[in-house]
Amino acid sequence: MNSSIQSRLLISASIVLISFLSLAAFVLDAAYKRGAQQALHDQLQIHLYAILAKAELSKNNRLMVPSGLSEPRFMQVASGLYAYIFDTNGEVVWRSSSSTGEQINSVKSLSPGQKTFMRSSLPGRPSIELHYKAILENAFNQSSRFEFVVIESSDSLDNQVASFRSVLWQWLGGIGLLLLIVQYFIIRISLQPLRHIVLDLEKIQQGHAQHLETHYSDELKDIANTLNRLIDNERTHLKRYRNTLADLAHCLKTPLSVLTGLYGQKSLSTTDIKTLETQTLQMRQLFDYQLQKAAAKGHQTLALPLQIQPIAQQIITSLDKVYLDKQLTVVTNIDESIKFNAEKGDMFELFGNLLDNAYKWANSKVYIRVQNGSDATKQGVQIMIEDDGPGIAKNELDNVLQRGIRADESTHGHGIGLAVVNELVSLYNGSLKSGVGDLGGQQWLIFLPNR
Amino acid sequence: MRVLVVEDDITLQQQLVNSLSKKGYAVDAVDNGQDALYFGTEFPIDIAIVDLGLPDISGMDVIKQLRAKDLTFPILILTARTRWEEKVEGLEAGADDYLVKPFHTEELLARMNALIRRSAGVATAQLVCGPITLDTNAQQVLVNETPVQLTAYEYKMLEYMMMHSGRVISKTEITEHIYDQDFDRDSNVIEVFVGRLRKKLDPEEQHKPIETLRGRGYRFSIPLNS
Repeated sequence: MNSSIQSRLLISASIVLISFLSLAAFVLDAAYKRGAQQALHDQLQIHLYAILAKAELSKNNRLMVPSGLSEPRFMQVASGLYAYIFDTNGEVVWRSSSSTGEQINSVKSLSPGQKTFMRSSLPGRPSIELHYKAILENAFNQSSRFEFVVIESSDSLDNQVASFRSVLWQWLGGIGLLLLIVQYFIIRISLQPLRHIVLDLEKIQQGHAQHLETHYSDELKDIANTLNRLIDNERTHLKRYRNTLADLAHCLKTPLSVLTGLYGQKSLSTTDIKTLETQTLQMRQLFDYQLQKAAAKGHQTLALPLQIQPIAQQIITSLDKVYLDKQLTVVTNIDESIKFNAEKGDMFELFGNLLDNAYKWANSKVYIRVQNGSDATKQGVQIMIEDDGPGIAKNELDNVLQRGIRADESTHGHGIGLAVVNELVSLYNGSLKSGVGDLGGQQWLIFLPNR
Repeated sequence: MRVLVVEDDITLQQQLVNSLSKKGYAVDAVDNGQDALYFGTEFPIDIAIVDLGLPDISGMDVIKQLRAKDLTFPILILTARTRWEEKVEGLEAGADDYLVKPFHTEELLARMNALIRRSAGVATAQLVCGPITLDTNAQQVLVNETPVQLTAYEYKMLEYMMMHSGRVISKTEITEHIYDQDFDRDSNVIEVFVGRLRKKLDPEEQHKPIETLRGRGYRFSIPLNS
């Protein structure tokens, strides 16, 4: 099951609601029908008693039913209300005037005083019959048995039940629909905090927010707090990791500086100095490269997208200060709106190393352009940095981009910086191209795709 | 030139003091931020070399506090940290250049030279005053294209005077920028150096580059880049 909590709740609540309403309708319907039936039976009995009260046995043992029954429907042909009186032989001895043309059968098996209700055998109209066996006595103590029958059409009953049923279903249906709608909104409102937390998490993931907000419902507050702690932990952990690495570098590099300082010692032989120099240089490069590599973090899942322009500008301002003597013309063309999901330190390394290299080798001009772009498949950031220096020969390029190998030992320059850039670019799944630019010197073209 | 070395690692500090002294710098060396602030504020420092990892106040804060006091001498950061973010932070705090540990002493000296020149408003590596040319990179002095042999102290003194040519420089000022605090201020060693410089630079007494202004000090009278 991968459906949402909302649809699960909605489906199960709807099933419960519909079964409840159907059951209620069924019970109400049955109860109403029973009530209506009972009312009809009572009615039949009242008619029966009225006839019984009027019926007399004459002194010659004959049944006498005076005309003028209280219920006018007995007089009216096909009124739906009929009465019959049978003798013990099942012969009709009396019938109401309304029953003209209708024929029913007696129920002979009844014992005196017993009554029975039954569906009528009358064709055409659904009716209910009440059969009652009574013993009538006359003043001369003679008695005779008679079967009294009252029939009433159940049309009205059926109509009543049908109309009740239709009203019932209409109402229940309406209420059901209303409840379903209300329930839908209740569920939506109840699940709102969950939806919020999901949206907020997405925001963090896309880097639009730093933390989950704290306005969630009580049940979710704990989850939000725990997640926030988790996020903080990750950040702190990374920070500590990086600081530890930097501290390690600091601890190791000061003694290394002391060793480097021995180059000038007169007491050492030239070979010793050469060895010392090579070894310390190698150590330094290995440190730097491994540290940079370890510190590089790649696309950030839990960070704000970074505005590139201020970082590049900060580095340019700093390098302008360092390379003040060279009096370079630096042209920047950086789209201020560009944001990229990267770790700040990584971008400092990328731009720092590339720009430092350009400043170092440029004769008079450095050009930097940063803009949105795309390769065959993805959108991303396009970076171009070029200078008017000597450039890097094609056959040296591999050396320059690999760790710790210097293209030109005598000039501090293409050290591990460009190797670090290369490493970073591949960490961000980007591409790096070296070429000759319009300024005639080294040109770097870098594309970093969005996550 | 008076240099303030702020480095908490004593071995490295000593090494720096030795190499810099050998090159004729007056060196004040401290191993913590408090002392660095004191020396930076109280002494006429020409350049400071600051290690970022100090035990008490961070090197970054030392730089910020020095700059907050309107002290403008160049500051070179020594750092073991190679992250650009930190380099940029240091430069933004007020440093002028950085050098990543470990480093070659030659490179440190070259960077220091460049910074000192820049702070004196000299754009090129060569200071030219008439027939006298001082090459700060090669640390060489030429008079009419002929090299002149100077001691480290003599060289530093000439460099200072040429950088501030046309200005009256008191004996105290020279002393403060050339010697560290142990120097005996009453001795006549400055007169001796000036005498030797005059002899070496202008044996025929044609140009008279160094004027004596009685009771006020000296003036390098040939304008820079002439």
